[in-house]
Amino acid sequence: MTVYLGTHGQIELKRVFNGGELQSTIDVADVNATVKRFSFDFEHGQLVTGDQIEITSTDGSALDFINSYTDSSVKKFIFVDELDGIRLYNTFALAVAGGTANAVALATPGNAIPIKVKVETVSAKLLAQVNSFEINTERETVDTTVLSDEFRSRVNTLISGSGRISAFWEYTGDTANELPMYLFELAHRTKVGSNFSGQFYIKKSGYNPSGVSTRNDDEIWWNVEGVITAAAIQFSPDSTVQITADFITTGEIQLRMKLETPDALLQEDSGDIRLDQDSGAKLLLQQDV
Amino acid sequence: MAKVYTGRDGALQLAGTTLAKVVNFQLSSNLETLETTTLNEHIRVYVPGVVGYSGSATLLYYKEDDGTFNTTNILNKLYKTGNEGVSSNDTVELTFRWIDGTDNNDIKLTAYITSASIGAATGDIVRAEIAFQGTGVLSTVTIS
Repeated sequence: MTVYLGTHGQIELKRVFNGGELQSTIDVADVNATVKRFSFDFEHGQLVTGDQIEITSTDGSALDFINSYTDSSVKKFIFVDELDGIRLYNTFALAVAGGTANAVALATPGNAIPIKVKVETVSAKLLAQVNSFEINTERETVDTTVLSDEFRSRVNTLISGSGRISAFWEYTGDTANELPMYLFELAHRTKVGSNFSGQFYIKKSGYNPSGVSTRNDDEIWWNVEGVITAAAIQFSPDSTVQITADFITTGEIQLRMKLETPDALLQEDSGDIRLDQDSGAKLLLQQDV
Repeated sequence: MAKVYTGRDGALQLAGTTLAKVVNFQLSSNLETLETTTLNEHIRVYVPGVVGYSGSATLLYYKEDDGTFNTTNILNKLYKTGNEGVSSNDTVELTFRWIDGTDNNDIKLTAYITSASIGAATGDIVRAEIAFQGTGVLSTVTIS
């Protein structure tokens, strides 16, 4: 038997909308090609730096506010400044770093473009600075005791879940991972919901206190679709600044176990086949054994 | 020996057969009173009128191993095809029983099912709730 330590758990989050989308118009005057910045009317807080958004013109016209771009839809990472101006980037790392140097070049559009926008993040990212998390699942039961019964009887019905994430507060300095500040930003998304898709690991590949070498790559985690219901911060001179986010699940709660390492689908040169949307993700094959 | 009764001691029979999965039942008797107070009297005076019986019960909608449902012979008094509606033949013989060892304390009556509701709700058991109206005399009363 083995004792596992909580130091090796982790949370991965994927940004999602609640199924809705933002609808607005990019006016000609909304685009400043010189500083690669544009804007459209949306309520503050609905789009967050690091979001991977899909912009689609609702009348089928080309998104010509992007320099030399002729398609009617585009998927990019964004940086949102304090005035809700937006810059587009090709990677999450570039987006959270911001600045004009690496932003996608823009051009003054010929006409106003009606658009719809939704967050379409492809892969989950590690949530940094986490110092604890908990997931609770609760099974509801209904009393089916009837006349003449000696003992109370019950049948099970629905499962619901909830949990809490605690983390040391941080808002910048990491271009690969989600930072705890995002949980606050998520809690304030009113129009499009405070939804997230999360993976809560209790056993990660590489952590293997069992001493059995074949168990080294095992992974055990919960897949959760959730919504942030509360976010709090503890701020006092004599302690670290820490945030706590409570969530409830909004769908199925899956407890997943990966006990076999999947094969990778390789190219002729033995290189991985990477996903276009995220260079850190690759195609995998079900193990053929 | 002194004894209080609980739901563990209760049973509801339909035509002499105990119904399965009965959650509760309730039986009420009501006597109409006819006032005979006249002028110059200072205290109201009544004579007995007609006695009636009514009640309700709740059953879990339950399928036996043989495929039969415990509620069939009750629900089919109201949930029926055809245009005849309810006739005088659509009565049920109900026995309300409180069991004390080998002794049965019964009230038995003939009744019309006057309402029957069944539905489904998220996270809950399907129940059939019925109400009935007694007709005619009680055929058995051994509760005292």
